[in-house]
This record gives sequence, C-alpha cells and structure tokens, in this order.
Amino acid sequence: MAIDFTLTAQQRELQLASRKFAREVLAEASKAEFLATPEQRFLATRPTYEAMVAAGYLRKCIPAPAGGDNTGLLDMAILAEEFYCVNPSVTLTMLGTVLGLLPILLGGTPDQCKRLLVPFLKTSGAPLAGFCSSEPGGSANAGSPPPGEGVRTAARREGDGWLINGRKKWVSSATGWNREGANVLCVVCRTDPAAPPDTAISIIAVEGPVAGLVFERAIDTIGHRAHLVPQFGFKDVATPRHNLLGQEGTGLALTAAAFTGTAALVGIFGVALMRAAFEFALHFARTEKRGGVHAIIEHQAVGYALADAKTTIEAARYLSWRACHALDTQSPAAEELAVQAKIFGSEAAVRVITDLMRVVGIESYDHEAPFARLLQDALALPIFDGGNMGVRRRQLHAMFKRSDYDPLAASGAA
Amino acid sequence: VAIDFRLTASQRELQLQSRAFAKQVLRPAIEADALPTPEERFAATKPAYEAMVAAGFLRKCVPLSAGGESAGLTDTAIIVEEFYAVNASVTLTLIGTVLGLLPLLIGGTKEQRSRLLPPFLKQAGAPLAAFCATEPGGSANAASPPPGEGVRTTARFSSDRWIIQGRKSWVSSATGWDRQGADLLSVLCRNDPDAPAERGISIILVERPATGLVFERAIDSMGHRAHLLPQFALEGVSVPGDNVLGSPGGGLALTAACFVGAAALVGIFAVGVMRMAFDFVLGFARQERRGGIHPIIEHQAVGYALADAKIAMEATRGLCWRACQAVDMQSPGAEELAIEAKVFGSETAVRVLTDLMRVVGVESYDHALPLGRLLQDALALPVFGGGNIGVRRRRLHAILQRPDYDPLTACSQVEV
Repeated sequence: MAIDFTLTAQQRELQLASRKFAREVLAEASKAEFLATPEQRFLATRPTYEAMVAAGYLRKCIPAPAGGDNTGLLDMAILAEEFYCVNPSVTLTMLGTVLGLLPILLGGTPDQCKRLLVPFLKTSGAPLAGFCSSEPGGSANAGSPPPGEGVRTAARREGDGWLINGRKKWVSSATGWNREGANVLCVVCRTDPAAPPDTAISIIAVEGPVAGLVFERAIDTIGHRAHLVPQFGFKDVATPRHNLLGQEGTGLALTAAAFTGTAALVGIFGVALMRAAFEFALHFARTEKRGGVHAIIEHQAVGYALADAKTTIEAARYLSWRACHALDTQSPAAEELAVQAKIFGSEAAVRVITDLMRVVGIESYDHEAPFARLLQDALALPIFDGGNMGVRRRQLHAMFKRSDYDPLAASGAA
Repeated sequence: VAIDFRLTASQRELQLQSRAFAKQVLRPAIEADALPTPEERFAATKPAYEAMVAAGFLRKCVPLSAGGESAGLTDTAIIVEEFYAVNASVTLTLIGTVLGLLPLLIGGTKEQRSRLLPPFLKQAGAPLAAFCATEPGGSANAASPPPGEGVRTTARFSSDRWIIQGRKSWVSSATGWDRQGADLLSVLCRNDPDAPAERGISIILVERPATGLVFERAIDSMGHRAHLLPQFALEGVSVPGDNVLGSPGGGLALTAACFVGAAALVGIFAVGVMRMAFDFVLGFARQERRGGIHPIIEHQAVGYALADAKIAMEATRGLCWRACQAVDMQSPGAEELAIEAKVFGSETAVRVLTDLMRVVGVESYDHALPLGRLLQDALALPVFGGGNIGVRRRRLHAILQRPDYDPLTACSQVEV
C-alpha cells in the first residue's frame, strides 16, 4: 500500500465504539482516584475493568493466531488513544495485562499459549497478567556484566520445576485484586548464575494464585492513582519446568521485544493526554474572558501556545502510528521508530500539558479542572516502561553505534 | 557597595537559623499533606505556623520602619529559600500573610498601620492576612475597560462605611483557621462604578470577624496540599470609612506595587524547590547503580543533566537576588527584574524538576520520594501570583512598549 493515513471503515468503527465506551463506562470510574489508599482505588476500578473485558476489548488486544481478535498494533493504538485520554488507570490495567502476556505471545510455544491464555480469551471476569521485570534498586542495567548485579531475581531447578526467589517492583497489577497474584506473571529471572547476561536470564511464567508471593506495598504514585503498582517478593515460588518461555537464557532479548511493542503505545498515551488537555484549553480559551473584553483566544500569546500544542500532538500521533505500522509489518526500522515514538510522545506530553496549564492560568491548579490529573498521569510516560534516559542509551545510542546503521532505514528509503 | 554576592555575617546567621528551623519544625509538619481534605490539611499545619510566628519569622518579614525586623527583601529571600522546599504549604501561609499586609505597609497611613499591624508584630498566635485580588472567572484583565468586567467586587460608601459585595478565589488563607476570615483582608474592589479602572478601584481593609464573609469551598489544589486556597463571597461586609488604603481609586497601582516584591520571591520559591530536588538527585546519582557496575553519575547523560540543572538554578538565584536588591533600592529596573525573576524562575523550576525526575527514573513517580511533591508544588509557580502569560503581557510587554524604555536600565544602577 502507498503512504496513507486514512482509517479503514473498520478502524473508524473501532474508534467510535471505543470513544463511546470510554465516555459511557470509563469516565465514571475516574471517581476511584479520590479514595484514600492505592489498593482501595484499584479495587474500585474492578467493575469497570470487568466491563472492558466483557465488551471484548482485552480480546481485541490479543492476536488472532493466539485466539484473540487483534488485527494489529495500529488498531490497538486507535483504541488506546480513546481509552487513555479518559481513564489512564484502568486503561493501563488492561494494557499492562497485555504487556504481561507479550512474552507468552512472542516467545511461547503453541502449547504454552493454549494453556496460559485461556482466562484472557474469555469475555468475563477480571483477568490480570503482569510482566515482572523491574526490581527494587532499578533495572536500567539488567544486561550488566559482573560486578554489576543486573537481574537479581533467580530461578533454580528443583525437581521437575523452577523455584523462584527475588523481589520485583513497579509491575502493573502484579499482586492482583487480592494480593495473591495476577492470573499470570511473566518473571524475568536469572536461570544460570554463572553465564553472561545474554545467556543467563530467562522469562518464566507463574500462574496465580501464587504461593510464596509476598506483598510488600502498593506504591502511592503521582498519577495513575487508581492503577496498582506494587512492590513484592517471590519466596520459593514453584512453577513447572514447562513454563519457561522461549529458549532458556534468551530472557533479555524477549524482554526487549516486549517493551518495543509497548513503546509505540506509550507514544499514543502521550497523544491521548495531550488531546484531552488541548480540548479543555481550547474550549476555555474560546469561552473565557477572564474579566476582559474578548475571549482569551483573541490574545496572540494564547493562539500561538494552542498552535504549538496542536502541532506537537499531530507530530506525536503520526510518529506513533508509523511505529505501530512498522511493528505490524515487521519493518527493520520498527525498534528505532517505537523507541522514538515513546521518547518523543512522552516528553512532548509533559511539556505540552504544562504549557496549556499556563494558558488556563491558576484555574488549572484546581483538581476540578482536568490538568492536574492529566499531568500527574503524563509524568509517568518518560520514566515507565523503560525510563527515557536508559532507553536512549540501551536502544537508540546502541543502535547508532552499529557500523551498519543507516539513518534512512526508518523512512524505508535506505 | 559595589557588585557583591557575599552574604553579610547577619545574613549568614539568618540563613543558618532558617535552615535549622526548617529542619526541626517545617519538615515534620509535611505529614499534614496526607490528610484527606484541604481544610484538615491546613488545620494540621497551625502548630507549625504558630512556631514560625513565635520564632519571629513573621516579624522578620515586616519592615523595620513598620515595627518589624526586616532589613529588606533580600533577607526575606534568604529565609524563604530555606523554608519553601522543605514545606511549601506553611511557607506560603507565611508569605501569603506578608502579601496580605503589603497594601497596608506600602499604601497605609501611620494611623492605619498602628491600628492594624499589632497582631502581626507579636510573636504569638497564628495571625493571618490575605490579599484578596483574584475572583472566580479570573482577574487577568482586572484593568479592562467596559465592556470587560474587570474587578467585579464592589464597595459602596454609605453612612461613613464601605459595604463590600462580591466573590474571591485563590486567596491564600483568606477564610482563616475557622472559616470566619483571616485577621486582616486587603480587598480589591470597585468603589466607583463609573470611573475608569485606574481611578475606580481601591483596596479596602476588612478586619476579623468579617460578618458577611461566606465560605464556599477550599480548593483541592494539585500541590501546596496543606495550604488553604478558598473560594468565598463577601456579602454586604461593612467596614469603617477610614479602612480604605491610599486615595480612593488607586487600587490597581497599589496592587501592582505589591506584586513586584512578591514576584521576586516566587523566583526564590523556584530556587528552593530546584535546590532540594537537585540535592536529592545528586545523592541518588552518586549512590545508586541500578543493577550496573558504576553509580549512575558515571553516565555522561546523567552528568550533563545534573550540570544543566545546577546552571539553571544558579542563574535563577542570581537573577532573583538582583531583583530583590533592585526592589530594596527602589531601582528603576526593579519591576522589570522582579517580573523576569518570577517568569524565568517558575518556568525553569518546572522544567528542571521534570528533567531531574528522568535522571532518577520510575522511582521518582513514588510519593515515598520527594520529587512528586516538589513538582506538584512547583507547578503553581508559573500560574499563581499572576499567571505568567498575563504577567508577560501586563507587565513586561507593557514596559517594553514604552517609548522611553531602555534595556540597559536594569543593569545600570550606579552606586550613590
């Protein structure tokens, strides 16, 4: 197909259906954000998440070959933009679950997919999966050779299975609705204490409820106030041998592949939050006179600020779409574009929302206006799913150092 | 004195005393932030504010000429830098009170000052004052000619008294500890419905208890979580005729004068939060290896980010000190410099804090670390005390448009 940014009829239908669902179901659930503790807030979103699953949205994020209804990352981007701009907490619960399934989808055998995906293909319940990568003390150097500690969670063979010990942190929904663990956890862990990191680390699936999972705390985050990001431990958690995903020792490569897919979606998260902030600021500028003669949109400074914001939103959206398309078509430029979409979209969102707050002025500092929540949510984007500093170094910087790197590959014109 | 950035011995003493007080009293009081409602949070800070008053810090912000101990805005800046990042909420309660007194200090008669200042000069209690400028619907165009509404709160003169009617919003501490009103309110209101804004608006003082003050709500603000920002109405509030400040009709000029000094202090608020964030992130970068071999400060990207943050902070502090000195000297460049300190410092703080969060990574998203709180506080700086978009237009753009504007005025004050 030629260069084309038009939605197909099905994509437009998906967009409108998602928008309607977001307005009718997700908007209401934002009330959960005002409850006192992170766990109370998360629990209060359960009916909404169940409605999302029941409406088939989780299935829409699982590829057709694995039994789901997904027709590509681009379609997920369309859905995610509509959802995320209305309720980032619950949307992240769903997409965190998709990330939790990615090691199975990307690295699992047909048997593993069939066995582990069952709860996620139904349109009932509130199934959760968590990709257990980050650890207390940080995981920006998971691939470090000694004396760097790299991945500290360890799995050792015990009888016909694995025994996992270690601690994890910042894993969406990992401890589940009741602290006993999500339905499936994909755990990045060291399976060979002596080998170099590229051959020592694996991803092993653990099914919930997880005996030996030790809940430590639910992090009180700046934003995503009704999303669960726990800190927890694995104490002699046993899982069958056949739950190791992909080849033993290829866990870091599988982790990188999973995060590349979600990176493009983080760019769309940025678009979604900017879009919501822009809509509010535009309406405010058109209707508010702030005691003056004209609506404030008549001021040149306001007009230019809105122009710059909108320009940035459109740039971020198409870069993210391009990255999703590259992933869908398995383009060699997919990794570069996905990481760029993540970095650009996430940092643009923080900047654009702070700029738009200044257009609105002091009213934007009141939680009755949406900016505080939008910005508190946006502040996660540059630092979660791989912090931008580490992502620049491990992915873009490393790529540019390769002798065969061609800057034109990303545009397909190499 | 010639160009000189050294502290005097007494300023150094003030700095160390403020730092110790911040550590001992203001830091523990930050726990109030965790309470569920804005009013509960504000009420919980009362003992810390009382301790601040008892230790003489409110007196230290009132000029010597008015019976206080302030030797100038530069000294206030030194206190504020030590206080603000440790506890922005309580510090703003103090500085909001000083702002509330400024119309009286700048525009009041000797009689008015001796009648109304005493509660604020004692080192006891928790006296509050508030400058009631902002109104629901916004006040960026307070000076608008008709058909713009400008200032909507009105004062009518009747039988030797002013009767005030209107609504206000975003006024620090205005409704007081008990919804009955601060000890002293400086209310910006239209006293002449027919005169142009430059001659029809005044500042009138309202003493507690203010019968007719109607509390509407405490704003649930993004940061400054334990500071009170109420929305309220003045319904037929009646005050004596001699509570008007200056000559009636000069309210907008007096407001502008009050916000000059306050603007320079907002720049210092920014320095305070950047400084605390920098200290934290530097410590993190030196200690944390994040699973790697070296502390992350060994990474070039981390070193450069820290370097840029520190440069921005030093530039801000230098500009703010310059602005404070210009205000103290009543330099012709004072207004320009103070507004520049506010705009530059406030926007720099937001940018530097978000940059420093990226050095720390996802841990910075956890309220167990200080960066979330500091950024939520810092986000007020570009939008409060006059939003930067309006301040650029009304203050800087207006100055630059004057035919006699000379860009070198700000740096050309000669020692006398």
